[in-house]
Amino acid sequence: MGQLSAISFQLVAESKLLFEDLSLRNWVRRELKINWLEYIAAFLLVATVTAVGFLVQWQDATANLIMLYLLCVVYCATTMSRGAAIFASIIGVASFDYFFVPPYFAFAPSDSRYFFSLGALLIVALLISELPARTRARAVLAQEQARLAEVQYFLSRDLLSTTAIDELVCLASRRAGEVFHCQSAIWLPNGEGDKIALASGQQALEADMVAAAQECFNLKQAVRRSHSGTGSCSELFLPLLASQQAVGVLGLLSSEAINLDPPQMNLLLAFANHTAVALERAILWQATEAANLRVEQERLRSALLSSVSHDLRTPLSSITGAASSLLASFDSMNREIAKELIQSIYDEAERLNRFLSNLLDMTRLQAGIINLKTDWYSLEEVVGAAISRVEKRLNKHRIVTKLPGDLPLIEIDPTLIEQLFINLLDNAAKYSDPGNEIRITAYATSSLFSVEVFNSGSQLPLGDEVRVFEKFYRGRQTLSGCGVGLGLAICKAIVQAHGGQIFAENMSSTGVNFLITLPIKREAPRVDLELEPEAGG
Amino acid sequence: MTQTQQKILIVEDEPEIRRFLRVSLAEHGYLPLEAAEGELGIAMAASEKPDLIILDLGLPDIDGTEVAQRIREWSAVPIIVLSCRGQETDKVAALDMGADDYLTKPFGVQELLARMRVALRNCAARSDSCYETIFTAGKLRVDISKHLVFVDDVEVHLTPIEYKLLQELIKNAGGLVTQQSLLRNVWGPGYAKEGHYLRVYMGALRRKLEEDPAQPQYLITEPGVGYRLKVN
Repeated sequence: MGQLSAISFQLVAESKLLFEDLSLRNWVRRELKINWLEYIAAFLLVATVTAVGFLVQWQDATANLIMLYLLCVVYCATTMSRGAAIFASIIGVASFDYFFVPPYFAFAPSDSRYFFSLGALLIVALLISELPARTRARAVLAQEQARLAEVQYFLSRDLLSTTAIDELVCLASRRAGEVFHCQSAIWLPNGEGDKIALASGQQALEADMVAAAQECFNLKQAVRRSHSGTGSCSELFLPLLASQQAVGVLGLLSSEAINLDPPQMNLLLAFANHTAVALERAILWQATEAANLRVEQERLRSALLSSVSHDLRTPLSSITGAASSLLASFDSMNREIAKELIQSIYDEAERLNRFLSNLLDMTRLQAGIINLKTDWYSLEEVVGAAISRVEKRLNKHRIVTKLPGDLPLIEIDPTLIEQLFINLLDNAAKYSDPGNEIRITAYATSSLFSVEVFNSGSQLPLGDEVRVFEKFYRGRQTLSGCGVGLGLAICKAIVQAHGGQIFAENMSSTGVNFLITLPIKREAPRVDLELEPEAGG
Repeated sequence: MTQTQQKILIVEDEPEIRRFLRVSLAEHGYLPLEAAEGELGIAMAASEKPDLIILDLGLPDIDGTEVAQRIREWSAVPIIVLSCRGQETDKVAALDMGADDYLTKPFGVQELLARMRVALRNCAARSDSCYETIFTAGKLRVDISKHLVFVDDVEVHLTPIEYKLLQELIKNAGGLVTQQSLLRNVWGPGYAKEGHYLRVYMGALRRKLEEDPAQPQYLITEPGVGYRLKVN
């Protein structure tokens, strides 16, 4: 919290600093301000030259004197303001005329040649003083532009860092408020025709203010509103114009008059522009994301459809066939054959149920409908429940569990993790020969819970260690028939929902190992245990 | 052989499932009654006084959970709820409301009959308040009057809480006992949210009673729902 306020303070300070001396008016005022020291210095220089010329009696060597005065003027023009240079040239010519041109100690030169000298001196002063003044003006302008660019950078630097529209709008309105020292708000289209709604900024806005923002959005023009008759406005609305349309409205609201200089106004317009571009980018990004999601959903749906039509029809065909032959010739049928048909109906129905459960689980996990209902569970219990659930299907396999007695409790959704083990056990049974061992091992460190499910079946094709978790991936055909190709994809989705990871690896000698790691985010709650009773007590 | 036919009320909107239940129950000597809606089911539960109710959770008029709750207000008749995959929350809610057990559709008739027998027997035992003094299941033997537990005729020493836990399960042997009721009855009403106590003590109990605690023969977990003491 303290850190946060420090940062925001720094931001405000930064923006204030950047804005100091920004306005053109200040600059002009500074330029026109008469620097008396320069004039005194110019005066002293000219006085020194005059005194020197007077002392060495250079009335005859007027060319030398003119050169000295010229030097004075050039010096003043290069180092001081233009005013000082002109001042130096005027008092230079005046002193020259007064002291060194006959009649001495009086103006009104008799010799018209000196008029030319006077004029030349003035022109030189003006010309030379022009040069540094121009350079300086250019430097000031460059500084000005750099400062503007810096403010603009400060305003816009984070706008492209996010594609979340909410975040973007908050950031833009906060920055605008900081830099222009007023409250700011942003309106965005609310999705119903051309209406806009407040997306960020103060909540209690007057109705006419909203109307003004709406007007700005509709006309795509800036709208100013003032409450008093002073002419300076206290509300300013700018349309956020992107390449294709107006994407929103930026409003500056102040209790005092908002009076922006041309550079500030330019800055504001540039900022509105940047915000509009960033907003459009975010909108486009979201549209792309939605499109990608639709494509993925479409892909899943079509895969689902082909899977449903192909795989689900097989057990249905057996059921319909068996039931119809039972109906048609039940009375004449041999009891054994009838029983076989009934068994087939039952088995196929079971298979159908498993398919459908998988499809349902996958779509629910995919759509994010499932909310994890986590609590502290013991892995032993959940594994035990999964084993008892699949026992019937894999009675020829031996399941060996190696779960240390001191395993900590783990925070999981028990139904989902049970499903995870059911799918892994089903998979292990499907791809390893009957009678083989399926081994479940678990261990925990302080931050990670690891479970391994090993089956000694045939190895995965090279490079398929990752692909096995893809939806609708199917391994080689097995005796028990191929599944729908969702079991392991569901496992992955379940593990990911718990923030964990799942890997498949071929073991060096034989068999496939599935490794699941689940993060331990916090310590399990303490349970006060009783004292063990005395033996025989 | 049997005294009178036991009445079973089926509250279920799917006619095909009603048909399957009606035929199978009649075949096994029960007297099936049918209600296609929740309100009708509640009314028939009052008028017909069935011995057991099979209640579907997805009814057209009112929630199955609500039906269970309203029947429980005045009757202790055993209720077995039928749930679909995806109705786990409703199922647990119905069990917490006082339903006795559940089955997930699709289910086999043997499963249903087994659950019904357990529920009917436990209900009868409750109403007579006569519990057997010796409980046996496989190698497990519990002398309830003397508080003694044996596995393979070897006495096992349980802590008081472990024993209380086992006792709660024995009271409803074969039937489902929800986490909530175990926490409430063993630890007290304040422990309803302290599921980890249950997990730790159940683990300890398994290590004392089970050959392989990860593949239990007696103390079966129904993840997210509760526990069941398997009788055979």
